[in-house]
Amino acid sequence: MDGSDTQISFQNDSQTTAPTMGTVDTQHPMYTVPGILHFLQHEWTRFEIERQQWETERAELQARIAFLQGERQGQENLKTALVRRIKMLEYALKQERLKYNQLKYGSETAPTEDQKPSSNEGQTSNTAFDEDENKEDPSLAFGGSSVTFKQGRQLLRQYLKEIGYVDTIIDIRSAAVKKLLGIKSETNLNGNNVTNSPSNINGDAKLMNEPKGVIPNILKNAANDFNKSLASLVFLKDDQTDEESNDIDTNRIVTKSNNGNATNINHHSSTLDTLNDPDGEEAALHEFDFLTGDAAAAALGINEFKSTEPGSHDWNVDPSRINRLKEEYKRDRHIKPAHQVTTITNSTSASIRNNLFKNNVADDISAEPRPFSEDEQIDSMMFRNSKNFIEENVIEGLDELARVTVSNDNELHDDTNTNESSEFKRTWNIKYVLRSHLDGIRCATFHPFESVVITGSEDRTLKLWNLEKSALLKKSTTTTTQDLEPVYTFRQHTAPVLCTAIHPYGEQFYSGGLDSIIAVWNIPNSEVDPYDAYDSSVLYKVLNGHTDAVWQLAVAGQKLLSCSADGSVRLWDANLHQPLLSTFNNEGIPISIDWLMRDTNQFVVTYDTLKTFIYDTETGQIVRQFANDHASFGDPNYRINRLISHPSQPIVITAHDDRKIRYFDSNSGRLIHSVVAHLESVTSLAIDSQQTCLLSGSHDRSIRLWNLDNRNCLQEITAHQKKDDESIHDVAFHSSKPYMTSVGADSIAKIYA
Amino acid sequence: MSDLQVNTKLPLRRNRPGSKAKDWCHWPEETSENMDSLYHIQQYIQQSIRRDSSDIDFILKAPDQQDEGVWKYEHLRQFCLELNDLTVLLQKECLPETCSQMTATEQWIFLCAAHKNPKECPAIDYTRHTLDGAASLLNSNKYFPSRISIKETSIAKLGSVCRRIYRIFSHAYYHHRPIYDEFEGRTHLCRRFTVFALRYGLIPKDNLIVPIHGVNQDITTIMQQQTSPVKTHSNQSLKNGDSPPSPTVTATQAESDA
Repeated sequence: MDGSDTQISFQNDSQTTAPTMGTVDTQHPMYTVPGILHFLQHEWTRFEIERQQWETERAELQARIAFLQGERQGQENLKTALVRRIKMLEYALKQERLKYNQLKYGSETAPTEDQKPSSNEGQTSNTAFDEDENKEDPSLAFGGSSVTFKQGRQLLRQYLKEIGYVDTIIDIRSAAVKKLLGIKSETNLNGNNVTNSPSNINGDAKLMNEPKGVIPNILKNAANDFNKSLASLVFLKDDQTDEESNDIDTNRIVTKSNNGNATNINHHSSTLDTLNDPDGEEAALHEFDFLTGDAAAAALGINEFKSTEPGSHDWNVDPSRINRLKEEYKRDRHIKPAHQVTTITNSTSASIRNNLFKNNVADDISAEPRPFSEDEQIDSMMFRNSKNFIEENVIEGLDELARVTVSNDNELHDDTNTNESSEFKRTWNIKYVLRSHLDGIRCATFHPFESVVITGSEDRTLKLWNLEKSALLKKSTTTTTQDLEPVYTFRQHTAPVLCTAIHPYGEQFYSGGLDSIIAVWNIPNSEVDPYDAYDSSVLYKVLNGHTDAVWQLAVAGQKLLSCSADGSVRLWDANLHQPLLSTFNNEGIPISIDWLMRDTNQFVVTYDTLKTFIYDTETGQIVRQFANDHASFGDPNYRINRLISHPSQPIVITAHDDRKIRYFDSNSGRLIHSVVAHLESVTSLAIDSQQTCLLSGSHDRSIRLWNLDNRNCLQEITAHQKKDDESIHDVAFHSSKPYMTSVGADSIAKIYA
Repeated sequence: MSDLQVNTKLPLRRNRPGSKAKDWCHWPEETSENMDSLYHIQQYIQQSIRRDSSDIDFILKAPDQQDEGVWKYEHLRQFCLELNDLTVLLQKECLPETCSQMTATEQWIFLCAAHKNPKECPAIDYTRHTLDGAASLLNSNKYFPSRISIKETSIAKLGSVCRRIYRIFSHAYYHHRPIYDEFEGRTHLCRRFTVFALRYGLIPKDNLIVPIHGVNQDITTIMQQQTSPVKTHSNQSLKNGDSPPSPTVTATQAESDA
């Protein structure tokens, strides 16, 4: 309001001077105070109005500025996009020109290419394109000269020779591929060139750049002599020492190189068909038609070039295969699963064509036919050497032997991961390690149908583990093993728990301990929170009766058999008010019992007197006595630690202190077979649900898997450490899922799958 | 009928199926030098306890050049193991209805640390959860990956486990005296634990409120000082160290798990 102030002061002045002026000049009007005020107010409002107008104008102008700036930005973007497009078009045009020129001059220079000096500097008539070529960087596409191409070819050829791809193999493969693709005439060559070229543009420019860079280089160089040009192949170098073994070398390239070209070339080396003649280049280039989904033209493009005779031996590559390999490998580098890599090597080009159409659908490859079994073996060996490629997915095309699950356990791995036993197509590997017990685990049993295992330990507790929970854990953590926690801890025993058995319905289980009680438990829900309120109803009942340690339990339906160090074998039915049904006594102490074939009323029991009997529960009488092995007469180590009966055949298998496993015929009681199984006494046995293999555990820290039919050892796993000369106490199989477990004195339970 | 070890011709230390309960671990003792397995400390401790469970000094005396962290760890494992028997006894009597909170004296209510948020579990739940939690902590790969050397950062965990375990003793003493007496007379576990905690400084003396004859018999003076009203003592989760203020009026050393 300075203006008005000055006005006022002015007016004041004028006021003071007014009278003087008034007296001097009477023509001026008289200034009255109200008038002055009115004038001032009037002026002030005027100024205010003007100010508001200026403000609005200013805002408008600013908005306009912003709008114009935005427009300008848009124009700039448009400009850059257009410039990019222009570049693409120029590039495509260049390539088309190259193609055209090659077509035109390619056939004329074919005979001369063979005579080219093997060192790289030879420039052919194709050198019109050399200006783009950078020997060091083959990713510059297409401008690459035939020289670097030939270098690549030679290198590939070298690799192929190293890994034993004799030329004959290459010929066979190329013949097969040709047969698959069909052979067409060359005459449509040029026509298709032109028509196909525009379709290339629509493809993913980035995708095209790299493969285009590699294939032309490779194909161009194929005609040269490989050996001498190897030295100059800098772009392929990545610790390539050719004197090393094939497998490691090629794999190293695969694993180390981030240069897509080198890896692509590796693929080519591993599965390469012999390159076709210069026509192959065009065929390769026309692979990009696939990207655009131009099926017909692409197919034609491929087929045309197959028609060439394999005149010069060098150009027999199957360009479609190369391209497919590259596509696959690119996908792999994003997706990473190993099986793709190996399946690339094994699928045919036809299948790859389909895959290219589908664009990064990873799993289709594995379903395709594999005509080349030799290659598979070589490939699989190569890739198996490189640890990067072995993952949890099954490597298709190989036997299930190669199904290796990665285990995070830092203890000993089993030795026979990659065994090639042809009989049984499965290797078991450690899947979970269950740590929570404070002392050795004495017994373990699986739930009949859930992924649940119950372990009983010398720390007086039993713990229930839900293996499904660990599945989530394993996925979430990467390197650190997250421990699988038990879901429930059963406390009732006041002395080590020695044996468990689970009811076939999966609702209850039994545990027997050194304190001579048998506890009957209701199995809690495996989803329950481990830190929930104590539910005393989990303990269903305690069966008292034995007067000494209960060492083994066996369940058949509702009936439970127990044997104890007090010398008796007792039969119980836990649901009855008086659970004890009958007692069987004999001289000596029963060590191990089992029901015979699960559905009879007979059971087999072995005593520390080295005698083994079959009892009938209904009559209470001995039915049969086993004939001991005559060779072990009087040997106290003949003592049986565990026996199990085969679920369907009349065989009883026994584990002895003298390190042997013996097979008895339960119908006659005679010994069928005996085999030295372990380095120390065998402690436990289990038969899998398929009844094909037998698992035995021993105090020599190892568990062994045996084939039941021919009784050969299939696998050995060193599983547990020793505590007090004891190592493995129990082994078990899951009856419906592919799990098995071993538990030991080191208070650890291991689950294998 | 025991067969002999190959090397030393000593009886094999195995509990074979069919052994009687009285013959459990009934093998000759071994010196700790002879034991060469991964678990020789545990074997040695268990053997000492079997020898005489009341000879606390012998049990707690570490062999020469024994790593102290491992020694403490293995003893703690053994304590948790033996406390299972007390728990089984308590399970019958300590019902949620009678002991709905975990208390010892009137002073503190202990919250169970096994949950995400410390929860006021009934005494029996507190006992079970603490033992289960201790078992999983002592077995966890993260904190105790090896049995032969203990990470420096995990030593502090032992202290917090001890503190919680001790509350089981104190609850049993103050609320289930007959059970406690019978158990203690048989196993001398609380005495051993108290001596262990004092000797290795795992629990401050003021917190050891269960009177053990000859060890902290003068505990009654501390009891008289605890006249402040009932406070809620919250246990942090196993990960954080918690440092509850000492109940005595005069500021004493602060507990810290760091």
